[in-house]
Amino acid sequence: MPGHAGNFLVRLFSLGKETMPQLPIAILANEFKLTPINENYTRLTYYSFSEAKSYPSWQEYNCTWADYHQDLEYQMMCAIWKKQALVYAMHPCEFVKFETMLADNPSNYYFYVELDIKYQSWVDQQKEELKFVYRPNESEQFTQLKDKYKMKSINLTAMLDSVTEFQEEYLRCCNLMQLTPCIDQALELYNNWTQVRK
Amino acid sequence: MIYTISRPPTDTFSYSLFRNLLNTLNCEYDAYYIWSSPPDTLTKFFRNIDFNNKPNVIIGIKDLLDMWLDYNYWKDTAQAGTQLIDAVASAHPNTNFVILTSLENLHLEEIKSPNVQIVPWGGDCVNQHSNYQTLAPVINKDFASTKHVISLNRNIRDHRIVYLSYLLGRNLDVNASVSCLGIYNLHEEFEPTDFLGRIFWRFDEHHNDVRNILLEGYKRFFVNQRLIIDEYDIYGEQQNNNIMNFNNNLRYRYQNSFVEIVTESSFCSPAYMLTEKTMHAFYGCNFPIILAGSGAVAHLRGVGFDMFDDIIDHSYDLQNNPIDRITQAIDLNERLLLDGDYVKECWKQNKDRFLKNVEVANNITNCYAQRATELWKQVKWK
Repeated sequence: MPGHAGNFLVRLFSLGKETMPQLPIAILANEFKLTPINENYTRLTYYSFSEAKSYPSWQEYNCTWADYHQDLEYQMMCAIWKKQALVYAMHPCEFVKFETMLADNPSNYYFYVELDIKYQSWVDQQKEELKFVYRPNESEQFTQLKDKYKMKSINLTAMLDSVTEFQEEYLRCCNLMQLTPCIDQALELYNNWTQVRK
Repeated sequence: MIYTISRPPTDTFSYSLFRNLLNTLNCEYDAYYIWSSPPDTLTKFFRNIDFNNKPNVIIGIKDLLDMWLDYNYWKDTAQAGTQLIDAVASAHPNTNFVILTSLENLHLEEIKSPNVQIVPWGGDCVNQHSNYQTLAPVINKDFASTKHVISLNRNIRDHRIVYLSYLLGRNLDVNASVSCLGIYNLHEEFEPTDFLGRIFWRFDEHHNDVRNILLEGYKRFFVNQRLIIDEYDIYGEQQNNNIMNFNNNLRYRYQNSFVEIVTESSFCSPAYMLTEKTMHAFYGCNFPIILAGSGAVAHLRGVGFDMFDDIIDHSYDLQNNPIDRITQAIDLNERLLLDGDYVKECWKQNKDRFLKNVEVANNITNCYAQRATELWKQVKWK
C-alpha cells in the first residue's frame, strides 16, 4: 500500500548476488553496455537513498528508478546475468494490471507489508511526500489479492521498532523468499534509509 | 533455471504447458519463455544469452518467427527467426536446443544445425482458450444479407496485398465485406500503380493473365474501392483481447456472412502459424477458405475440423507456390463467392456440421497438449 516503504524493501531484498540488482531507468536502458555489477560494493552504493535529497521531491526521485514497467528489460537482464530472483513492489491497483504476467508462475512469491496503526502518522507523512493519489477500492483490492495469492507478511512494524527487530525480520523474510541474507549490507541500507526518511 | 522473459497477455495455455513439460525433466537445463513480438526482443535474446551454461536449453517462443520481415518463397529457405535459431545453435554445438514453437511445420524449414529439436505447441489460436469455450457461436445468420462473404485483414503483408488485388481484380468482391485496416500505411509509401515496386514475387509464364489481373486489382485496392472502413486499433486498452473484439466488432459481420476467406499472418514459408483469425471462422460458423501456409487446411482436417470438402475446393492447400495458392483459392471457389443463394442453402443443410466444428475448436488445446506431450517424450536429452 502507499507509504509502506515499498522502495526500501525492494532494495533490501535485492542485495543478494542471486537477485537482479534494482537499477535506475537510465542505466537499465543501456543494459548491454554494462559490465556486471561489483557485487561486494557497487550494489549498495546504487541503493543509497542519500541521492534523493538532490531531487525536488521523493516522488521525482522514485520515478527515475525502473520497476515492473520495465519488466521486459529486467527479465532479459536476469536471463543474461543468470539471476534467480527479481523483486518488485506494487500497489494493489498496479498488481491487478500486471497480474496476467504473474499468473500461473509457480516460482513467484507474494508478500504484503504489515504495519501497525501506531505508525499511521508516519504513513501519512510518506503519502504526503510521495504525493499519493487516492485510489478508490484499494483496500478491498488489497484484501482480495492477499487472500487469492495467500500472501505472507513482511512485518514493517518490527523493522521500524528497533535495529534488532529489523535484523530478525530481515532474516526471517529472506528465509521465506529463499534469498541469501546480506546482513551487513542490510543494516547499512537500513541506517541510510531511516536517516533520510524517518 | 527457468526464465520468463516476456509473455503475450493471453497465453495461459501455452505457459502452463511449458511449465508442465519442464516438470517432467530429470536432466540439467536452462529454460526460457519468450514472446517474439516485438522482434528485437528475440534478437537481443539470442545475441546476449550465454547458452553454454547447461547441456540442454529449452526455448519456448510464442508467436511468429518472421521477425516482421516478408519471406521470399523463391529465395529463402528459412524465415528470419529460424535463421537466428540455426545460427545460435551452430555457435553452441555442444548444447542441445529444444524449441517449443507456435508454428506448424517448422521442421520443414532449413535448419542446418543438428543440435536443434522442434516441438510445436499450437499457434496463437490457443490464446484465451478458456474464454473461447464460452463464446456463443454465430448460428443466427441473416439470410437477407447481400454480402455473404467476409474477408477481414488488418496489417499490410505481401500475401494480403496480392490476395486482395486478385480478388478485386477479378471483381469477386461484389458480394463480400472486405477490410484492410492497415491500408493507410501503404498510402504513405507507395503509389497505386506501384504494385510491382511493392511486391517482389516472381511470376511464371502461366501467370501472365494473373499478373494483369493483379495490376488492375491493385489500383482498385489502393483507392479503397468497396473496402470496409474501420478502426485499425481493434483492442483499445485490452491488448490482444480477441474475445472482446469478436463480440463487440465482429459478431454482426459473422451474422451477415456465410463464407470467409481467412488470411493468416504467415503465408509464404513452409512453417506457418494459425491464429484466432482461423478460429473465428469456426466460431463464426462460416465456410472457411484458409490462406495460410501450404498444408494448413490438411492440418485443420487432421485435428478434427470438418473443412466441408464436399462444398469448398481446398486443392489450393496443396500449392507451395504462393501465387498459385492464392489464385486457386479464389478461382476454384468462385461460385461460393458469387452465388449467395447457393451458399445460404448449403449453410442451412449443413448447420450441424458448423456446430460440430465449434466443439472441435473448444477442445483444440487438448489436441495440441497431447501432441506436444508425445513429441516431448521423443526428444533426446543430454
